[in-house]
Amino acid sequence: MEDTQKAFEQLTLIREMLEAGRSSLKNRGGFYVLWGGMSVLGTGLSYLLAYLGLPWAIGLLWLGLWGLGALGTRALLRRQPTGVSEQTWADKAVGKLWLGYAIISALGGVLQIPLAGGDWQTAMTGIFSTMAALTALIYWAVGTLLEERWLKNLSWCWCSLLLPINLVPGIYGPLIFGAGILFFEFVPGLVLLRGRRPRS
Amino acid sequence: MNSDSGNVLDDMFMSRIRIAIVSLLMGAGSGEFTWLRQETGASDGNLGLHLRKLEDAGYITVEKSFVDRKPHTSYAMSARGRQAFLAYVAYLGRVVAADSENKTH
Repeated sequence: MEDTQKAFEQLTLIREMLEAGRSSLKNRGGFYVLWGGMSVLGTGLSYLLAYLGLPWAIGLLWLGLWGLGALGTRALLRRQPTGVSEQTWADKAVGKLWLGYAIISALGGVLQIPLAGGDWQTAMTGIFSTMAALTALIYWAVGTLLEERWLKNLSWCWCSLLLPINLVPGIYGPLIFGAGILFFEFVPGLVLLRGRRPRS
Repeated sequence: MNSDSGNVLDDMFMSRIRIAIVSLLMGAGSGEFTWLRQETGASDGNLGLHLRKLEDAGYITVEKSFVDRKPHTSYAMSARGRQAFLAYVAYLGRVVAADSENKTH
C-alpha cells in the first residue's frame, strides 16, 4: 500500500516535470509573435509598394525584413528558459518558413512579373498564393511531428485563404495574407505567451 | 519499493530531486543549471550534488561552453539514462496497475 502511494506520487512528479520541460520547448510564443509581426509589416508594406507602382521592390523588402527577423531570433534565443542557445527544429521551421517567404517574393518580383507579361497583379496573386500554401504545408508538418492538433487546424485555415487570394485582384493579395498572419499566427502566438506557466 | 524488479530500481531514482531533474531533461532535451534550479526549487549545492551523482552514473551528459564570454553548463540525458528512466516509469506503472487490480478483485 505504501509502495503504491509512493509510486503514484513519483508518477505525478514525473508527469509535472515532463510537462514543464516540454512547455519550455513548445510554448515559445515569442517566435510566432516576432515572425507574425514581421509578416504583417511585410504584407502592409507590400501593399503600399504595389499601390505606389513599385511591385518590383517587394522581393527586396521581404529579404530585408527576413534579415531583421533573423536578428530578432538571435535576441530571443538568448532569453530561452532552458538557457540553451540552440533552436529546436520547430523554431528552425518557423525561421525557414520566413526565409521561404523572402525567396518566393524575391523570385516572384524578379521572375513572375516578366513571366506574367508585365502583369504584376497576376504575379502578386501567384506570390501570395504560394506563400499561403507554403505556410499551410509547414504548419501541417510541425503539427504532425509535435502532435498538436491546433497547429494542423491552422494549416486548414491557411489553405482556406487560397480561395480569396485567387478571387480578388492581385493588389489585395498581401492584405488577405496579412490578415491570415494576424489571425492564424500573431494572435495564437500572443495566446501562447500569455498562457505560459510562471517559471519561478 | 525495493529490489524485486531488478536493475530498474537503482539508487538514482530514490531521490525526489533526481527524478525531477531527469524528467525535466527528458521533456526539454537539455537544460542549463539555472533553469533546473528554478524548476526543482533546489539550492545550488544540493542540485550540484545530485547532478554530479547522475553524471557519475552515466545518466546525464554535461557540456561546458562559453556564450558571450560567460560560462554555460548544459545538461542532457544520455542513452543509458533515458533507458533507465523509461524502465523505471514502466515499473511505477506496473506497481500502480497491480494495486488497482487487487482492489477490484
